[in-house]
Amino acid sequence: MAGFFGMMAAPVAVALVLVVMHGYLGQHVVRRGVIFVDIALAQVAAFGVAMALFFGAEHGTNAAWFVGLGATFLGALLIAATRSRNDTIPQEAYIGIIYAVFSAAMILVLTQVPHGSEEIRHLLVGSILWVTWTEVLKTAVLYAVLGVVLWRSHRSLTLISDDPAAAQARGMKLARWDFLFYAVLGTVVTSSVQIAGVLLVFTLLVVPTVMACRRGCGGGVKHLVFVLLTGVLAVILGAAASYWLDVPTGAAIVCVFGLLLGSQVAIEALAGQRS
Amino acid sequence: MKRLLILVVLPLLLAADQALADKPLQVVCTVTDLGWLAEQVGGEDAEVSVLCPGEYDPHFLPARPSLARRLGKAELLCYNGLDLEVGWLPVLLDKARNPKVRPGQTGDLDCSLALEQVLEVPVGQLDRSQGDVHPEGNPHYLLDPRNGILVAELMANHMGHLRPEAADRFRQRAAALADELAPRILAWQEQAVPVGQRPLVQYTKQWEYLAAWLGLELLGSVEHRPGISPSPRHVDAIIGQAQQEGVRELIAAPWNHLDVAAKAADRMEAALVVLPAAVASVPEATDYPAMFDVILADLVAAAGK
Repeated sequence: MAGFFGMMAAPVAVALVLVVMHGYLGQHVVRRGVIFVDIALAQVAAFGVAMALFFGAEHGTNAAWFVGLGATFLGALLIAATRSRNDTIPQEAYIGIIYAVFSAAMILVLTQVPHGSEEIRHLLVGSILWVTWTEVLKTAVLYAVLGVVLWRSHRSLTLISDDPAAAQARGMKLARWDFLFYAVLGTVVTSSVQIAGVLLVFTLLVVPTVMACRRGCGGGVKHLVFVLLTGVLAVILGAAASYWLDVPTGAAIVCVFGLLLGSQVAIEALAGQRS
Repeated sequence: MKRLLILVVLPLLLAADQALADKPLQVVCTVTDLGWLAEQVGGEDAEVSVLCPGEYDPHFLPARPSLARRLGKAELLCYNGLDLEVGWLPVLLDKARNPKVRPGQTGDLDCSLALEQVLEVPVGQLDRSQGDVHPEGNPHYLLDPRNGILVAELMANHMGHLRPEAADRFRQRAAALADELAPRILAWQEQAVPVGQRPLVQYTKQWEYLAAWLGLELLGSVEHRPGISPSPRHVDAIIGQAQQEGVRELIAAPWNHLDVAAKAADRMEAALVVLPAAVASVPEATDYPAMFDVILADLVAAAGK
């Protein structure tokens, strides 16, 4: 018997790698108000993988991965093109449409593939418990490379996320930067959804940033540290709950995130009453 | 006038009835194993079509309009029963609007009624926390070929009721099939002797009838609650047990998530052996006996390593 550490070390390690990357990207996603963009991109990627399966590629091969990535870039292009200049239609509307249409298209494709329903279930809940150290390492290397890209364009991206009008006034081409951002986000999400499933990836991206923003959405290092600490706490608590309560790991971590956010809201409400 | 109408219509009706009786019996089967058995029993007196292709997991067949259309033309519906098709067959029956094959009608045949013994009928309270558990017992009985013979006999009887003029032929074909399978069943049992030396682990609960028939020992399953991801402690326990007992094979169906199954096998230091769980679920399993040929060959090859 491997015990808690033997079983949970690799899942916790990969979750921590995901926390770092998604914690950073989550700030931009929340500030841009494009909360469901990751799910939409993941869905476009999944549609790509489904197409690859349909044309005979095997799941988990390089061919499937590259087709998924290509589809993600297509999704990034679509989402960058829907940045709304019309205030009555929020960009979330287009993101929702992209999600719904590509989900439906994926179902159409996967009903033609023998193991389709198993794939759909797998994309939702992932299989983080089974992650191997090789996968942890691969993910870490990929994210490190993308991290360099993000680090070099941090200032421009932050400006566009916070104040797109000012950025445009400075002569920045919003569409190009948007494409870069969504392409990076899409690449990250494509690989993380394969490991952790849509539910956990969405939670990692949004919940820590929302918790940080409730304490003042300042951005900066302090904000990022808070995001990382809550992420780490939730992952470790969730993994422990999964092991000792004997329940699936991904779902346990998602629920712990929910509980953390709920307790934060409750504590703030109590503190507010007292003062 | 009325008499004239009867004189004209009655012969027409009789002729139509005669034409129906001459036409082969329209049989729809849910899964490929039943499809093959129905073809053997029906011969030229039946036309058989199968709803769930062999490569698809029969628990989760995506509902398609064409399936309902085929069901609409059926005179006899043969299904596995024990809730195997509960996720999709009732919906299709609703859509098909074919009174002949509705539950309780003459064209409704639950093939599990042929069984002498159903394995793993649960006792006590059942609820959704146990996943897609089958409240009436384990439905994978066709992985024991002796049950295939029983089902063929049941089909012959039922087809005989629907086409009395061909009843004898149905019965003869079922008897011929039993005679053909009997020596092969003994041969398969013989082949399995070296496999039975060590326990096996299964990926999902699928192989209990096969194991009971061949005298194999199954330690447990990786996905112990079908349809729900396993919990870490369960995985830990089954891996620990597998290593302790010297398990060298993890068996899985082709529609299981083989990525995860391969990782589980790795941790057990066992080989992943993907066995055909239905006719045509792998290309080599061209018919029901060929499926057992492949299963036994793969098991023996894995045990010999």
